Amino acid sequence: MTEPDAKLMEWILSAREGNQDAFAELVYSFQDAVYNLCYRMLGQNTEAEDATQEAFIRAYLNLHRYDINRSFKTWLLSIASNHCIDRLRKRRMHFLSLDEPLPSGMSLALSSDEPGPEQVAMSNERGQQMQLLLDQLKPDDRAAIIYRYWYDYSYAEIAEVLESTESAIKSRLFRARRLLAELYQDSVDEPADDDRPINPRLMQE
Amino acid sequence: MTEQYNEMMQERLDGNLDEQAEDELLRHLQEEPGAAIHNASLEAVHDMLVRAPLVRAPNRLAATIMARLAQAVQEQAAQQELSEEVKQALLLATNLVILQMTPVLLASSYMVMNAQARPQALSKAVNRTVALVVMMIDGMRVLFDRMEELVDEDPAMAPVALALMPTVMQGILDYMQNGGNPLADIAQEVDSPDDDDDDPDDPDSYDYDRIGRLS
Repeated sequence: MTEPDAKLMEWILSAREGNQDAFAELVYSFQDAVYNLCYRMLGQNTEAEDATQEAFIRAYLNLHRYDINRSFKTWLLSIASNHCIDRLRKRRMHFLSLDEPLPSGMSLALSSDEPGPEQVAMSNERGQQMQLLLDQLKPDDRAAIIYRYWYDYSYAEIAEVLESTESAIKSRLFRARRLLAELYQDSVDEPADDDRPINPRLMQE
Repeated sequence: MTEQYNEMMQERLDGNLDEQAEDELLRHLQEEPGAAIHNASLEAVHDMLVRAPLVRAPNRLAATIMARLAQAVQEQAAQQELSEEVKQALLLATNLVILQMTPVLLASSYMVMNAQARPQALSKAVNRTVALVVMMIDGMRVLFDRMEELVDEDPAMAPVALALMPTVMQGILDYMQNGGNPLADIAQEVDSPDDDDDDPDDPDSYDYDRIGRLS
């Protein structure tokens, strides 16, 4: 066990005994990883903050269930992504309809021959552009993409976190990436139009 | 066939395509402009994903988490459920009280039915029955108050709290035996219809708090 691993295990075991200072160390160590996951999943700062808080609280209250032979980070991220997927499903049930147009500023105009000022600003924020595309994916597919690209997880690791099989994760990733490519291509072919209805393919569950 | 090449494009992005298959794919892309466009879109998206930055947590987030955690822990402790053992003990106590009072209620009902021929006796019987029910409720309230106090102090005391139940029941029986039996005189009236209907004990004057004091 390396030095950081030993320290991490010490904090985990101590937090299990109710030591909140030890848990604070875990929060400091993993808050960026969890927050990024929540932000990429939910697409909004405020909601991502709330989801991150919830994920850490759930982790603390369920520390006794954590298997010390597994990666703590993976366990923590799985709590966060499951929570985000639940939130997205509830949000989808409440707000989306097939006829609902994309909200203002959510157009998928990523590039065109003559980019306008807004598009120029967007092109300076590649992460933000990516977020607009990610927001169009189904929650499970989005989670798979995020784990693959931001956390460099293998198919097997993603399967473990999302409680699925390696082959299912692979097809999920391929499907998501193909959809993103099609959306990207559409946005290149067509100029931005805020009144354009959402792509019906995206609504299929 | 197209599906196969689509899959190969994705495998290539993940670095899982061998050299021979990659050559085959590149030849296909040269021959098929549509496939090349799709491949370019896939590569563009892949590139954007690879370059997308890790968003850092706001500075105040850790402090907010710890504050919320302290609150959550406090709330959890306050709402901590009684153990299964305690719940079973309380349930058993309730059932025993109901079971023990059932014969008294049955007797009361019997008196009411037999007093139907005499309106005044019937009125008294109903009043006394109400007095009995009030007495029972009072007794059970006292019982549960005492049990709650004990369990609050120490959850392991729940089984011991059961001992309060016979004490309360004994109190009720003592009260009835010592002239306070609200059924005794009405039973006598039903048996002796010629007796004077005036009852020195006004049902309204029953000391409903007596059971409380007994405990």
